[in-house]
Amino acid sequence: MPSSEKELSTRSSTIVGPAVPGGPDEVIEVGNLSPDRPSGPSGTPHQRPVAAPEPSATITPDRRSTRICVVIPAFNEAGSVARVIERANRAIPEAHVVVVNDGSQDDTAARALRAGATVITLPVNLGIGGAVQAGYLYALRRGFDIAIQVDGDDQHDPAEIERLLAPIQSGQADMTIGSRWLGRGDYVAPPSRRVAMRMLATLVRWRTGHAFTDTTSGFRAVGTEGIALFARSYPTDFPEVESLVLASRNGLRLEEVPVRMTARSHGQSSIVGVRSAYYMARVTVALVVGGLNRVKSENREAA
Amino acid sequence: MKAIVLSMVLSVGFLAVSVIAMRRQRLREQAALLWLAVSFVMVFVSATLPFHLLDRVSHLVGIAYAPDLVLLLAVLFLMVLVFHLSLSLARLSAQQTQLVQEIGLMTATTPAGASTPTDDTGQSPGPPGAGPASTS
Repeated sequence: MPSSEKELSTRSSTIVGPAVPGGPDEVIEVGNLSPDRPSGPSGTPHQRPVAAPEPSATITPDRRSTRICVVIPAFNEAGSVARVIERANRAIPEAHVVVVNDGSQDDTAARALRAGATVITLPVNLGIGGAVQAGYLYALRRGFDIAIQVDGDDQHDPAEIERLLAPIQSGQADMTIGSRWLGRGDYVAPPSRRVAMRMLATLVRWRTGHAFTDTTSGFRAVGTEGIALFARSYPTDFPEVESLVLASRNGLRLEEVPVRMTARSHGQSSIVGVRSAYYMARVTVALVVGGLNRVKSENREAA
Repeated sequence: MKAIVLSMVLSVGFLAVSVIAMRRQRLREQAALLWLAVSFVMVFVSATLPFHLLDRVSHLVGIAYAPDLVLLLAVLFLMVLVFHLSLSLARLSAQQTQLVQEIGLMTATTPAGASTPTDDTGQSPGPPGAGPASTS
């Protein structure tokens, strides 16, 4: 069985070339490789120059031509990734599904490919932040209008994607976050986790002025501005909370949407025990001290 | 007298190691300059031990025990150095992230028969000419 899977994955796949060979975005990245130059215009390491899509010329507002990309970050999710892809395809057939295989050691890539998704395989594990950003880069360079982020562990119900899309398509919001605490579904979290979540919500409210109920939700959608922002700058390691502040500080209109989430069908949360204390400390420092607010001005300079 | 000999041997030895590493191009210019400077300071301090220069300088800054001055300077120097390395590491790992993402995007695979997202539009994702200018 493994051998036939491998065969299938190599034979039935084609390399997807760059959107425009030698297009402007490629030139930028090459320029960035010279050794003694700071990695970004500001010197902030995790920001990069990326050409933003031209708003008026390439994007038409009517719903039919809206191009939607579903980004599924997956690290060793061979057990659930195919199911997530199938459910996403069923929920919005017009969407393009991309799995970012974050250096998995199992056959996540082969199973995702067989389920009909485009697969971006990262040669080394970057962690959720780097993986998700690869998805946003893909969406930016292919000129997608909306990118939806769905976890590869089957916790998110793709049938709920429509709820995330609606506010963006109607122009009410630039970014939507699926919240499990707004009445839909029956998700339960242990008390310790609930306390931590409340602390995060308080911190985020202090930094953004928005009262989010579910700051750690990785089930979200962004429009073109959000795609450009996150392709350019995205927090690493534990990005869900920080990216809310980043988006808000860069003028994106955020909206929480009630969604149903199910208990994970495979594996465990990556944040348990001592790591959860570390998570809280890191996120707190990032939110209190973090310079998460300087991207927009650079975008304006580049435009 | 023994202390001077010991200290000179160590300092000159360190200088020699730095120079050898430089000649074999194991050190980049910036680091090479730094270690060369450090070696010379060490040699200088060793050579001036008989003239009690160190004692005089420590009294000048109000440190009664001369070796404490040396330790203080050494700790400060190492802290600055480690901080600098920490910054370098962060920069390198950010660059690695970018490279890994680029490799991932370049080798993206799509199931046969499925239309690639560029097929239906073929439009450039970025404004023409905006690229190279924005990096410089």
